[in-house]
Amino acid sequence: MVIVDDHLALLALAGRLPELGLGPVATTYCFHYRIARAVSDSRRSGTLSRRLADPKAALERVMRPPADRLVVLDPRQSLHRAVAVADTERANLLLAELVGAAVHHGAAVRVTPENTGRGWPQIMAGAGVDFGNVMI
Amino acid sequence: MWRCMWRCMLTVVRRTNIYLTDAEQAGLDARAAAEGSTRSEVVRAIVDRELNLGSDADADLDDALGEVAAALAAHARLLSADDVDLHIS
Repeated sequence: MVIVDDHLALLALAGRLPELGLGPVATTYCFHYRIARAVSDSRRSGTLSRRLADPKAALERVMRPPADRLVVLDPRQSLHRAVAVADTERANLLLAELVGAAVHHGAAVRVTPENTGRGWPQIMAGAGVDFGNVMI
Repeated sequence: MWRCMWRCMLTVVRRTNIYLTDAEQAGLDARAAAEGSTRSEVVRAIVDRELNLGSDADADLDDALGEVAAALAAHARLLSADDVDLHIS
C-alpha cells in the first residue's frame, strides 16, 4: 500500500494517478479533510468553480471515494503510532498521522514536492518509512 | 430473484467463498426475505455501499478533477497555511 498526499489523492480519485507500483492507494484523514475543504471552498473561487463544472458532484466524489481508487485510512487504527511520532518529533497532526499510518500499515509514502515539509525526509527515514516525491 | 438474475447478466461477477457466523447468515437471510432478494444480492449491496462502489464512474467528472487537481491542492495548502494541525511544516 502507498499513502499519498491530497494532490496525488485527487488524481487517484479521478483515475489519473500514474501507476506507482506500490499496491493500493490510500490517504490519511487529514489529507482527505484538506481535499474536501478545498473542493467545498472552491465555490468562492471563480476560477476553480468554473473549471469544476459540477462542484456538488465533485464534492460528493471526494467525500465518498470509491475504494477501488482511493482508500481513506481510519486514524483510530494508528493513533498510538501517531501519538508517539508527535511526542518524539514534535510533529503536527497532519505529519503525525501520516508517519503513524505508514508505520502501522507498513506502507510507503509518496507526496508532491510542494507538500514535503523541511524535516519530513529525515523523520520518515528515522521511522523506517519508504518515502519519496512524485513529480506531476 | 429476477432482479438478481438481471444484475448477474449485466455485471461481471466472480464466485468467492467467505466464512460467516450463524448470526451473520441469519441476518443476511432475513434482509433478503424482507427485500424479496437473495443473500448474494444483499452482500453485494452492503459491499458496494461500504466501499462507495455503487455508481458508475463519470468520465466528465474524472476529467474535471484531474485537470483541476493541482489548483485544488494549492487551494488546500492556502486554506491550511495558518492551521497548526494541518499545515505542511
